[in-house]
Amino acid sequence: MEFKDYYKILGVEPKATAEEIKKAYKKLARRYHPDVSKEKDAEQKFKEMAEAYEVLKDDGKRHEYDQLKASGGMGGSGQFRPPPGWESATHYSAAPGEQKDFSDFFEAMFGRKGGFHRPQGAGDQMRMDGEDVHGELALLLEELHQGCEQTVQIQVPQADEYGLVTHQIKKLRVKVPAGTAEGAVLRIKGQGGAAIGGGTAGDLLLKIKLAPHPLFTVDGKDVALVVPVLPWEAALGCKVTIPTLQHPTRVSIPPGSQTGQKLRLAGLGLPGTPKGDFHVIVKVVMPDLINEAAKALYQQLAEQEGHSPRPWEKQP
Amino acid sequence: MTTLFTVEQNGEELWWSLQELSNSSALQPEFIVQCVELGLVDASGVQTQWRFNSDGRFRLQKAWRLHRDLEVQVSALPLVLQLLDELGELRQEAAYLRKRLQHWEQSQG
Repeated sequence: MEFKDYYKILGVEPKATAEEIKKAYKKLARRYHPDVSKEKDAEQKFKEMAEAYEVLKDDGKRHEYDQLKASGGMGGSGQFRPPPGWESATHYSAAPGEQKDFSDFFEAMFGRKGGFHRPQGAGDQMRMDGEDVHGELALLLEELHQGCEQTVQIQVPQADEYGLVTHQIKKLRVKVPAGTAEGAVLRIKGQGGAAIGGGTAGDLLLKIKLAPHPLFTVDGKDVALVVPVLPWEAALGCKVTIPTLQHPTRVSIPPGSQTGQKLRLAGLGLPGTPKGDFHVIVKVVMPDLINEAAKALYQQLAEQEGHSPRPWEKQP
Repeated sequence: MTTLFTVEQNGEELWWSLQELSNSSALQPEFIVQCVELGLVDASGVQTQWRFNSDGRFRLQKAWRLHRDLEVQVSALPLVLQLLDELGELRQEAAYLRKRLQHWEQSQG
């Protein structure tokens, strides 16, 4: 196995004080903690630094590690092998349920990684059910409405016959049924943590989240879409084709429409009993560019109309 | 070839009492009580009636890891989790908008 330079992992000198080690660990932990970081390989880096800190924060373990390091710590093949007769005086043991996924190198130095112990007799089998694994799946509104297939990548814990826990990346293709609601929990049987000794494998539980949609907003079962219209379209009325959850639909914007005016398409919202509605919200917008000809037409309109939309101003 | 897994809707939400949650997740009851008092997870009634769903369990475990590994003070956990939630949503939105922009740029040739 490979010799691990814990000082290098934490970015400190071998003569670093306990305070310097703690400071370095905290700094790196903030950067790579899997609950916080989005950096690539954050989890792996965090594991390495947690292992390094576990050893270097403890005077006894650090002393033992330093001794090994000073002795070269290498076998003939360039690989690390503990010296013959090596036995740590500072065995590691974690609280139940708090097993950390430390490396083989750590194990060779300080013993088993967790609170589990090797079965004593040949027939003394350990039986353990796999853990349920929880995750989230963000889907677009259309995907929830119509159903979809998604590839999910999850990390599942796996314990060997000694109870040592490692994590494996699993890729699953799952079929999300049409009409699944936001917040629903989907269960995929047997795809959580693996069992040992004939136990039952855990399940994968995926909580459905609604991914932000660029066009639609959702309020309960109702869906809304803002439809921009040009001033003359609002004044004269127009027909526009809009996307809905089901299919493109042609709607009539009535003459004289105002910003904020709502048109209701009954039953075209989210499924349920009763079904949700689809709201078209009119938004009058100015074109980005107004050419000279258009300007002249507006000028003509201004002179003819003379009406002010502001109630505090004098009306003609 | 990738296997396609069909899912079943978890109609009945999973629930854990304070004791069950503590036993099955290595979270100390005192820590859970503190988190409930701080409003980090919802629980109503007296302690013996508290019920936590998978969402609450996930949140409490995350809070515990942040407290244990990063030494985040318990009193700061609700704020930290809220900020992390918002950060996650913003990252997701940014990724989605980037994707859309890419599509738009491609469609413009």
